[in-house]
Amino acid sequence: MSTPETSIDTDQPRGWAAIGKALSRRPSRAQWIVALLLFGLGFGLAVQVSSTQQDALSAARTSDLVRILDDLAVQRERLAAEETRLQATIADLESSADQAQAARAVTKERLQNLRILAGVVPVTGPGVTLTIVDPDQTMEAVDILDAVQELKDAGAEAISVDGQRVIATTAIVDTPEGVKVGDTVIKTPIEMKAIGDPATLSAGLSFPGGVLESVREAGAQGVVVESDSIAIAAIG
Amino acid sequence: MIALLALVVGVIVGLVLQPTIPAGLQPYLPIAVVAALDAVFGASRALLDGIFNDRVFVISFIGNVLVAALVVFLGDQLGVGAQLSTGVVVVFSIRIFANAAAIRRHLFHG
Repeated sequence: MSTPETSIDTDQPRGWAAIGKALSRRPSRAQWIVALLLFGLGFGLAVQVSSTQQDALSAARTSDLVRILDDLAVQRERLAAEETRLQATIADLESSADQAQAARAVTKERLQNLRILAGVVPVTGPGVTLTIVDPDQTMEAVDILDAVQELKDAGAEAISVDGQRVIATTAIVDTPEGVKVGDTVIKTPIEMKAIGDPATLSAGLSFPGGVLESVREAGAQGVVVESDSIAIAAIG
Repeated sequence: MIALLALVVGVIVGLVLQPTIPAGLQPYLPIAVVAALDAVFGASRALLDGIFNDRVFVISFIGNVLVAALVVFLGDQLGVGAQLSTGVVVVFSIRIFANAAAIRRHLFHG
């Protein structure tokens, strides 16, 4: 089919002469059509060659493909196992980090509480102020101690008497000059501050037979004022 | 001359563009290329024999490609596409070799 059997032009040159004549021929319409066909051939050839090179799998034999598939399956299983292991490691690390963080928070809170109890940090918060006006100096150390004790029972976090922070080791004693709290002798009006729930603290001071009543019986005057913000300085 | 240039330009364009072959054409393109190659070898031989004819070449080129594609298509429908493709390639290869031998005789013993 591809070898033409008939020829219209019987005195065409043959062999090398034919090639020479073909190469030197001026492009006719038929030549353009031939060129178009050959362009298509070259294009298809190049596309097919490059696509075959790109896709190595399509040229592989069935047994090779099966082997490649097996390899990939094994590799995938291995990677899945590794992923599980790494996920477990992540979970371990996260939970241990959480525990450490929680422990640190608890410790910090305890530290803060202990600092407040020891009186080494200034404290600000809601609370009450108890002012005792005692012109006749009838208040004794035991009365002041009673008041401090009552405030502590009512949940006071920090207490001060005339600006002196009262902590576990603060001494409240009677002296010839008057009542001494810590290192200083307190003078009227005695101002006691306590930080805690204001309602509870004021109730703890003013119940019948409580601090306010005994102050009144002793001949002095006591006033409790609730406040949203009371500042108590650190010890020292 | 212009035909040779077109062949070279076609190869270059194909290599540069690297288009993806549509999936439907994928089984036919290699067979079509081999069929077209056969037509070109046949035309070269005819040229050397002095009996080259443009019209015959165009018809044989297009006819080769179409018949080859049809055979592969039929093979696919019958479930023997791979074997028929191989058969078509073998037949065209034999023809290409025969034509190449004739061309060689013309150029070196003619």
